[in-house]
Amino acid sequence: MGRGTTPWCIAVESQAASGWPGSDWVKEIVLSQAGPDVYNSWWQGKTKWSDPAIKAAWQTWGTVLGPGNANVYGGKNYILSTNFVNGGDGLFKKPPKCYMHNQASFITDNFVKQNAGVKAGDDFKFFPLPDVNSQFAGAHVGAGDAFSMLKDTSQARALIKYLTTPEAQAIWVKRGGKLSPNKSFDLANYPDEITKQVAQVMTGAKIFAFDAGDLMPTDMRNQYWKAVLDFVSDQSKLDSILAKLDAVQATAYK
Amino acid sequence: MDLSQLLADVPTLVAVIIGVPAVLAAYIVGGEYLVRLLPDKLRPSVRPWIWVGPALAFVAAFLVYPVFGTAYRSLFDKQDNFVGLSNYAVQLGGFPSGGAWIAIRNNLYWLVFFTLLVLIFGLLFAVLTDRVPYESPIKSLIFMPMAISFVAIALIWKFMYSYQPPGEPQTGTINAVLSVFHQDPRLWVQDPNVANQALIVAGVWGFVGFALVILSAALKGIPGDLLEAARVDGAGELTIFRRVIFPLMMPTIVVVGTTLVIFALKAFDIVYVMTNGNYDTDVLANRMYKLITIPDTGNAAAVAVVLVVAVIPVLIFNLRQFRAVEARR
Repeated sequence: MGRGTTPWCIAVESQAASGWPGSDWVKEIVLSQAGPDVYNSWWQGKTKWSDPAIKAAWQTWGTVLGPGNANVYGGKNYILSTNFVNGGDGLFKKPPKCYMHNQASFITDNFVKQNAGVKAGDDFKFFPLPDVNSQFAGAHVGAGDAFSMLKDTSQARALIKYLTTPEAQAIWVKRGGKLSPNKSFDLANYPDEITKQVAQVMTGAKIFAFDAGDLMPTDMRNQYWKAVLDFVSDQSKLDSILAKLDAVQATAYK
Repeated sequence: MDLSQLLADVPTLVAVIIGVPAVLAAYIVGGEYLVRLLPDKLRPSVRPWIWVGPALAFVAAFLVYPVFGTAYRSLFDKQDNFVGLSNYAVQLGGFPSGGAWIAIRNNLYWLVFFTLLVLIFGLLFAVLTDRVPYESPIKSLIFMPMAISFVAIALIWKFMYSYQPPGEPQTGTINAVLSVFHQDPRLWVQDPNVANQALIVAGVWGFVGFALVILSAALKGIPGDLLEAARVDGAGELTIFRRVIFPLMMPTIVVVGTTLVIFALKAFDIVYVMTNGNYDTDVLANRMYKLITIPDTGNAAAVAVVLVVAVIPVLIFNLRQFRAVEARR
């Protein structure tokens, strides 16, 4: 920071889904700052967006961003217009434009593919997002693929049971970029050191919560993403942003 | 191509290949027979209906019924309860920035600026290319964007409007041009102050070829002796354009204009791909799409009905003008 380089790179553009990387930030802070009970009640629509706990999470993110997004490379313009797959590219420029990027584990693939000569472990490492509130230490948010069984037959049940076993999940994991949620999964199956460490953080998490945005109804989640864009554009408008979120929340869960 | 599936069910294949023409022929022969039974006077008035019957049925089933079905759907909420006009209250309430009003405002922007810009540039290019030897290649070039889908146009222009922070090499064409003149790059699509204009420019680029081709044809339809006579009378080129060319092209300009207005009201692809309605750029068609994906078909249907009601007067006007152009021939 003393050298004058912005510490963070953030990119939220994603066409119709623009804003979702920012929503990851906010939900991680909600879980770590307010705890799993508030987190669950929030995505279920029972806790309002203007509730002090949720508002505090946005404000915490605001301090990370800095006033006028001063702590982020390129400020508001770069955050809003850069596609999320290019979010980490600033880390690898010479000289680096930023030193940290918060993103789900798939991004390591983009780091390596988009930036010549970048190697996992040498040029980048990761650390789990630090705890905000020591009361809820070791809290992490994750997302994943879900299975649905449309017709309840014994064969379908057998397949689903098999898919949850370590043997079946090894097939996926070996292809790279996936984590197995099964605690008895053999870590040796992970194709590289970084993915293995990420898996260890996930399975060792004291408090694990599923992605809140994915659990919300579609219109709530869309407004959530839009709120991220509005907040990055102008942090001082937080109250009216939260009011709009409350308005959507009132009808979305019916 | 895997034709084995097709050949696996031969009876159905035979039924389709022989049956469809057979049914059609039987319908025509049967219809003629019925018409013959009628007295001579009535035949000309009944026969067209029999021939047009199947096509009418198609249109009724796939066009007319959905319109009424949509209007009916708009009276229900997400749980299929009858709620009367409350969806319309939600969409049309909260003037000036609530409900669908921002979308309506943006559709009006599109309606005015998209139409005007396409007409002006179309007319300009038509007149300028009219007497040049390289007219054909130029017109083909300008018309080329019409050959690609608007989603592709939206993606192209997304790259054109790309932004990199000041001091970095610019990846977007517009910002690169700015950097040549030592100006700072700026946001185009993500800035609510210019986003609408940015999208409309992309739309104009895609559609100018259409106006050019039609207006050029109309221009060439003006009798040469009229222009000769005007020149002999001592009129300058600009006066000729204002007093002879422009008035004579008016019906065509109006037809092109109303087509553009209808397109402006329907605008979706560009908005969806470039901003999904964020940054104050939402339009009615995009709003309707977002509501359908919730799924809130009642509210989506309400937006659709608002759109249809807005387009109907334009459609009627367009038809009348089209008839006027035809009558002139």
